[in-house]
Order: sequence, then C-alpha cells, then structure tokens
Amino acid sequence: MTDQTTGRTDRSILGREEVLWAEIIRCEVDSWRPRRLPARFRPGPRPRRAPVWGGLPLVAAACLVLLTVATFANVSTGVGGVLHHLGGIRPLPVPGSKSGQPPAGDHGHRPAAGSGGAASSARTSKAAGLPSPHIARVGTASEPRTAAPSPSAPAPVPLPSPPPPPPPTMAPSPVAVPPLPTPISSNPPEGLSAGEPQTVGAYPVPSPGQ
Amino acid sequence: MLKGVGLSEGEPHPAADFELLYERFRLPMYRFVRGMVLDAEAAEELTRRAFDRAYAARARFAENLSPAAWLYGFGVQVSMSHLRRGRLGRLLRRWHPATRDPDEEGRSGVEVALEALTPSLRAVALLGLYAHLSSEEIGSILGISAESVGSRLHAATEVMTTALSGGRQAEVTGPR
Repeated sequence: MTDQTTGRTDRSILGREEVLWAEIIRCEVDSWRPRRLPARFRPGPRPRRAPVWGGLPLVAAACLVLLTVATFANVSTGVGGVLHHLGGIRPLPVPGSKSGQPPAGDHGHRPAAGSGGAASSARTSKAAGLPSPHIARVGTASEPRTAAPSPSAPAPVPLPSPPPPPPPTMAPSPVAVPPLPTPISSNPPEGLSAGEPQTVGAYPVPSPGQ
Repeated sequence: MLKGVGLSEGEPHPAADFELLYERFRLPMYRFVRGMVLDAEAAEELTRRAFDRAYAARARFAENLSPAAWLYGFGVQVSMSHLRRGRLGRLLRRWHPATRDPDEEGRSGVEVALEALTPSLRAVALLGLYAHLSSEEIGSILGISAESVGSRLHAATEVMTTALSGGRQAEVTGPR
C-alpha cells in the first residue's frame, strides 16, 4: 500500500494486526481537522524581534560596566580622568614625597574627626584662600597624578612670613593664633583678594564686628 | 530544488521550499500531534510551535532523513514536552470526576486506545501506523534502535487491542 503522506511504501515492519490498526487509525485520524491553523505558513514574529529587544539590556549593561570601570580605574586622561578630577576626589601629593609614590595616606595630614573638619579637604583649603602647595596642585587636571612637585618650579604663592602656618592637625589655640584683627584685615597677602575671607592657617579669622 | 539522500522525487526541501512543506504536512502534522496529546485545541498550538521550530532549524536539515521524518521529529518534541507538563493535571482529572474533561465522555475508540499507551509507545504507534515512517527513521527520531521499533510497535498494538476490548469492563469497575 502506498502512503499518501510521504509517498513511500513501508509496511515491512507491520504485521497483520498492525496493518489492521493502521487502517483503523487512519480512518479515525483523517477526520480530525484544525479550526484555526493557518493554511499558509507565517514565521512567528517573536524570533525576529527578540534580538532587537533582547539586545537593549545587553547594551545598557555593557555601557554601565564601561562607565563603572572608567570611573574607578586609575586613569588620568579621557572622560574618566576629567570627571575624576572635577569630582575633587583626586589624592593630593604630599610635598617632599618621592615621585611616583602615593601619599602615605589621604588622612595622614588631616585632622582627626571632630578637630577642625573645615580644613580636612583640599576643597575647603582652597575656599579658605590658604596659600599652600596643596592649592597649587588642586585643579591641575592636565598634570600626571603621580608627578612630584618640581623643585625648580617657583612656588605660586610664597608665604609672607618665614614660619609656616600651623598644620591643620593642631587645634586652634589662643596662644598660637592671637586674635589680631588689624594687620591681616588691612593688607591681604599676595594672591589673596580683598573679597575673600581672612584666614590664619586653615581657620577663618572673625571680623571685628563679629 | 535541492535533493538529498532522504529526499524522494517531488518532496520539498525544508531550506528551499518550507512553505510548500508546510502546505503538504500541515494536516498530517496536526493529526499526529492531536493523536499524541489527545487535545484538539492544544494540538493546533503545538503544531504551530513545531513548524516554528522546524523553520528556525531548516538550515540544519539532516539529509539522511526524509523531510517527513525530520518534521515529525519536531512534532514528537513539542508533544512530549506538552505531555510532561500536563501529567499532573491529567492525573487530577482522572481521579476527580468533577474536574474530568467533558470531551472524554465522547471519545472515539481510537482515542481510547491511544490514551491507553504511554507517550513513547504512542509516538511509535503514530509514527509507524499513521505516518508510515520506516523503522530506521522512527528509531532516529526517538533515539532507539530499529529493532526496538518493531517490538515496541507490536507491544503498542497489543495494548490498544486490550484497551478497546476491556473498555466496557473498565467503565463498570471505574478508574484504577
């Protein structure tokens, strides 16, 4: 008997009982007709859209990973480096330290918590107008981070007096910083504009009216 | 038209003439899947799914098989998956008459006989007795030897005969 489905004849594996069952099944099954199965094949749209919509989270994740790597990597150029310096989280080089060596610790020259936190960051030092080598380093984003200050380079803002300002770790003392309003307020040191608040060391000096 | 080892004269090649293959095998595939799952509505969705899978894999058509055997392989896959997922639901319906499928009451003798088979025996019976595939093709689809196909086909017909002859007795004694 010729098979109408495949056009082939293969009854060698069938015995007499199997042939009978084949006829019974064919008569029954051939009466089954689908109701909504389309007559023409249309490839499902889901496999075509899947790469488009499935790729978006992948691209977003890749961008996120790249941004994270650029932010936390030790880069000094490019967008990551600029953002890094603009963010003000660049570690300050310690004057006198060797080139290429990182500072002994970002908190090594800073006051302890609760003892004058206003001078604990480079930002506040700059805002206070303190002429310090630290200030000269802050904001020079084009320089390499690990470059040590050149000994031949002139200090951008020389200190007016030989004794250096007290380190910020020292607690304000009435003996070390006497409240002398007149000489400081009349002549601001070089590099300090008149509109900026007057400070001694890292601490603002109160005006006479205060 | 491309021709391979498993291609007979006039048979469409899946990679070149898939639409013609669909037109030719749409009804046989639906009937085969319905015989496997014994559910008319599910059979339509499963048939669509089987053709979708075949379309996605048409470039990997193994030419040692006929297009019919290749297509029925996808029908076996989707039917077996459906039967595995619905095994618990069918058991519940069988043991709780309140949730029994109302179509079960009007089932024909062939459906009752097919339901008595395990899914693997049902696949052998339908592939051999309805699709008329060769023992080698059935064995290739199901992952068994050609000799096993013959013995399983014989076992399937015995079970179906017993189910038809003992059907009235089962109605009297209830579900086992």
